[in-house]
Amino acid sequence: MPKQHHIGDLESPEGLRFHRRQWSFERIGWIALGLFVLLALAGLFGMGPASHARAASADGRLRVEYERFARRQAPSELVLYFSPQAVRDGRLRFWISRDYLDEVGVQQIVPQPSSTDLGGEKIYFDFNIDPGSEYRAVTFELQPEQTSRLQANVGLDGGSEVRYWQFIYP
Amino acid sequence: MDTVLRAVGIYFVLLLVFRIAGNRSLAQITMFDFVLLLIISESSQQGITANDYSFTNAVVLISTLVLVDVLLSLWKQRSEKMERLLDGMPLILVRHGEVLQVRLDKVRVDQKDILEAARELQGIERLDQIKYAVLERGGEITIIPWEGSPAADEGATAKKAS
Repeated sequence: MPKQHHIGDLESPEGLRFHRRQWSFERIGWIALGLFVLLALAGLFGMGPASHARAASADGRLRVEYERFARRQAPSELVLYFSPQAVRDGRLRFWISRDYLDEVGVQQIVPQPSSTDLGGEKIYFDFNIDPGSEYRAVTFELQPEQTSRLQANVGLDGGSEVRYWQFIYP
Repeated sequence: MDTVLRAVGIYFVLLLVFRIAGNRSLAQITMFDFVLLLIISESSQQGITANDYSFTNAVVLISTLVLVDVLLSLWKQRSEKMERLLDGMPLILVRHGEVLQVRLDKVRVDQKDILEAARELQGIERLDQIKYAVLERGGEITIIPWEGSPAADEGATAKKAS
């Protein structure tokens, strides 16, 4: 090797140590980015197998599908499925906890309930339903406004309830 | 308030991601790098403005970003360590005509890149005309040629490109 020439202090031992650290940092960073993207694919940040969740009431009359991980100001869906036993006299009546509804930003309910009533901690939804109807599902289109962990309670009027949590990313 | 937090958040996320990518990643500005840059800026813009397209929000956002940038530059000026951490350091790739291949591999630069920079900056044709090549902090490669007539008289130590 020829005699060492330095351009300023570019070749200081400290500089080389820095570069070596920088290179290991980069490689660790690549792995971290890779893991992050894999987690995103898995649905840890919503819209994937890790995020799509179901829950059912103890008596099996109510089943919900929801996104465990949703994002702030991004659309999300809550679908409620009812068993035939949930229908009484051609009517379907269920409630959702007010705390949850306040936070979760309901944009639209499909189909529209025939009436709602604001009873204290619970908000009740009523639907008229043809007793012979095969289709007993209600979709809530949501768009949460705030980053938080939400606790949801959903129940049939006079039936058992479903509880689940939902995390809203920023 | 949200806007300020989101702007600061995005600033540091971008800083981190680009430190991970290495300072050479978007410096080559090929056509595709340019497109990528546009997509990245578009994505981060949506992340920080969210749904608020108001004038006020834009002013808050711009002020926050510029403020963070100024504060960091003040910190960099006071602390050399901070400057190194945020901006990286120049790295010698060709030392006295000798190509430091291990370093080239580490920073994902090859001899073609060095020659390209040499042609562009100095009108140099061959690797043995290069005395020093340095990967600068901004990701560009700078070249110092041998003085006088290149290679022939002084460049006995230089390695051939092929």
